[in-house]
Amino acid sequence: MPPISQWLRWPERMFFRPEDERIYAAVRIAFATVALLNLIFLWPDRQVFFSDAGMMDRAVVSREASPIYLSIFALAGSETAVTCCLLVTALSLVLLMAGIGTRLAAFWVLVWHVSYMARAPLSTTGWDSVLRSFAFLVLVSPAGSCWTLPAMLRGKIIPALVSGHGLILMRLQVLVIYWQAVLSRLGNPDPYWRNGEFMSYFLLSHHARWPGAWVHEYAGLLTGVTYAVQLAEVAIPVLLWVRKTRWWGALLGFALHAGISLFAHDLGLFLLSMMVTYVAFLRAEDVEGMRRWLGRRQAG
Amino acid sequence: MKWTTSLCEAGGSSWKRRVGAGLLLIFCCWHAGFLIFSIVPQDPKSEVPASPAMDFYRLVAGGRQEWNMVETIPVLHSLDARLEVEDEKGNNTTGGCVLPGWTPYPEPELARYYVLFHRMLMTASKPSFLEAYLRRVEGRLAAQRGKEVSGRWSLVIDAEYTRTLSLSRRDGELYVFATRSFNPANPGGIAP
Repeated sequence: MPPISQWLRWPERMFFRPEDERIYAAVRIAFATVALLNLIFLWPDRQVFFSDAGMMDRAVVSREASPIYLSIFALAGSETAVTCCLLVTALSLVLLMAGIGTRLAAFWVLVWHVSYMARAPLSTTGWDSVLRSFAFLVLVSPAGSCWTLPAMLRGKIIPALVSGHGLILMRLQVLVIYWQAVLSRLGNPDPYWRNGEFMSYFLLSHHARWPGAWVHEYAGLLTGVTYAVQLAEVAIPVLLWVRKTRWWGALLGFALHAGISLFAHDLGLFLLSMMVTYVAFLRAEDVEGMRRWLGRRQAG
Repeated sequence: MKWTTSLCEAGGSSWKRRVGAGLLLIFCCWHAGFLIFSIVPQDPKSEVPASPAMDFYRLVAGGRQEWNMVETIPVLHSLDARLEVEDEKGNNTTGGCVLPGWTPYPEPELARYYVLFHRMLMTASKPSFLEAYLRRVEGRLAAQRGKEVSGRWSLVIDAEYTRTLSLSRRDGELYVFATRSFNPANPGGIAP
């Protein structure tokens, strides 16, 4: 049996295990791209959701906030100020993508996510929570200099090994996302998830792209799909975490979220946000393989 | 490849690096514990007050997923919202209900607008949002059309609700239609 001092060092060994900094760079770039897309889709409705002239009264939002109202929009209520906030965020996301002033840009991106969710709590969606969690985790992860614009301009392409704590926390976050969904159904049993009718109702609802009587004809199949979704939610994080099965996990997760995006409308950003989280499960050999593949393509 | 712990090795002397690494390790253990704790689902009936400090941390760091769309079945098949205003001659005019600019409720529906209207109108837990919206609409209408508009307008919601599968399988009718209207005097809504 190992001595107690070895056990005490276990968290250190787990969190500070060296990881290829290119994985962090891939997460940073993928996250910033999807967060920028989210911002672009919010842009036409920015006054509706965030300004004092819009749908939600700032005083009521502030009063109802729990535990506190934490939003940059507490200081920016006019239409011009809201537009400025979104422009500054767009710039921060581009800087984060390019790896310029990474830590400061990541900090502002987190402020943005906390702020808009606090200002417009009634219009937040599932992917907003995923992006906010990852904004926090990108901020506390090693910034690195690989795959950044300054490093590329300098011609520095030697990747470093950095602490793996950020990736461990990101992977844990993905596990929480899926397992909490499953456990909340077990803890507060929903009759439609239990009897397998959930998917039929979902495909008849306004979320569905093609609602109609055809749903009745496939009731048996849709019962199977309802149960399969719950099994997939349990399996995806485990498959992603295990080195040998990570690609199967990614494939299963992609099939689940792409299926949702295909059969429901306006959920494309949910698919993309979840795919960002899968980037954290990449391994050094994956990025090395990608580098070699790109090198061969450039040479060919 | 070179090895750097990045955050821990950002310059400074050896003891500073050790303190930095120690603090980072404490944070990692804390956040990992926080995430694992977040897996436990919230009991909506629980009367135990949440910790304000934990709530504040969750506000910034997230943790839980909020896939409200799939908690249970969505009961709506369609939703449409509009403002109906009666003019001085008694004629009804219809307008968009989205502020600012009185733009119409988007068609095809957008996820953010759906969750906004659904939470504002059909989730009674936060009636103050709807009341504030109705007051705001009243103020804007009064500024445009004069104070006599008060009491002569409504937010009208047309909704189709999905019938139970057993019923719709029997007679082929998938949805049932319902209309409700809301104004500052009736923030709970009335069915005309």
